[in-house]
Amino acid sequence: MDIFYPFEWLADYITFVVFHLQADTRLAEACHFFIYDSLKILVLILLITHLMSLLRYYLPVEKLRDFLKSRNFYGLDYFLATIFGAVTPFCSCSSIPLFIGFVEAGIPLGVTFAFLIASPLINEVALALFIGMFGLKITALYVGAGIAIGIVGGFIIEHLHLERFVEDFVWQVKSQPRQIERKKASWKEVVRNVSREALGITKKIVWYVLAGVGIGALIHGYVPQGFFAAYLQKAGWWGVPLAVILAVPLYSNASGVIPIMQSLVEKGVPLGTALALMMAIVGVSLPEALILKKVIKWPLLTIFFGIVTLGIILIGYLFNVIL
Amino acid sequence: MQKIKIQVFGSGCPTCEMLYNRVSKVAKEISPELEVDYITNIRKMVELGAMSSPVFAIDKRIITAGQLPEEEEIKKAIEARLADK
Repeated sequence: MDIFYPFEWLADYITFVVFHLQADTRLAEACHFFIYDSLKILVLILLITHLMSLLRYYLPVEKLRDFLKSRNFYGLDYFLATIFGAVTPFCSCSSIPLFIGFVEAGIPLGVTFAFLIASPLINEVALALFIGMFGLKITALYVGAGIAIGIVGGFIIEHLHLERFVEDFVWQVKSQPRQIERKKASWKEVVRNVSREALGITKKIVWYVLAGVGIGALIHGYVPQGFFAAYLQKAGWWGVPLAVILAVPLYSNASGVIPIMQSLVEKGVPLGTALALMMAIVGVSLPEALILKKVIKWPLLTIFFGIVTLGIILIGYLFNVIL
Repeated sequence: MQKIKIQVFGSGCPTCEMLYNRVSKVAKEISPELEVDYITNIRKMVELGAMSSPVFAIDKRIITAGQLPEEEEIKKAIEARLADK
């Protein structure tokens, strides 16, 4: 049985019994879609943000960094850095201390960038939305693609030897051994802390998500099957890069765009193109670029963004071919 | 009252300012003599050993990093430190 069956039932009940909508009409379909998907996604977001906050409570980024510098991983550190990046929430106000903290600890520049690439690309909200809208298989592809871009991107940056493009002061920072007051927290306190963080994240995005699902519901109900396929076939091979370029300014609304994309895919947008668009929205943002400018110089910043953008475009093509 | 050094480190983001205002408010409630420094120099924050902003620290010890603690928690931390002195 579908674990989301109760939402299906509730959506049926509200659509057909409370609103008296005629089955098989466009309005009924849009209404049903909105209720079912909003409920499903909100529950998934709450669940995943709680899980991730719990993970972070026991494994804060400072600990992950200490682990990465503890020994030689012979290349496995790129992979670990992307995984750590994935579980760390990305907030642009933390990107500078993260960057300095990694470099100061002696972690290679490439590994640091593997972390910085993966951190925004794979985040809990995107995960919840992907599982809810596209299912586990596509979510796994998305995560795999994000990790691949992080590893390859970090590896390329490391081997280009770009250390000279890091601002000089970064190399001079010396941190004292960390002193953290960690009194033994009771179970109750842990749960309260974790819940507060998870609810905080959810609250920030809930309206975007609902708006996104709302627009998705309208597309689902009113746009004819295969509508976009015709247009995008005309766009041909440049559909993917075009989608990526369009996506960059949309950063702040990532949580609203993923639900819309699901409806677009349903109506004929190729999945690879849609994935590339979503990755670009989530992972590439101009505000973040400008913040990082404080610690790295233009050439490195340009190479960093170039690699991520190119990686996303290649992933888009790849998925369009294999899916 | 003993002198303790209460600091909030942040990059100037909205959450950081919220933390600074909250810590200041709690500190003033405990004692009007307590002062809170707001440090936006990220380098100082990293030197303390933290990597996620904002940071709430007392006497160079990190109490919280990367989160917005509740007033109750801030109050407990300051009072505990004062009692230690």
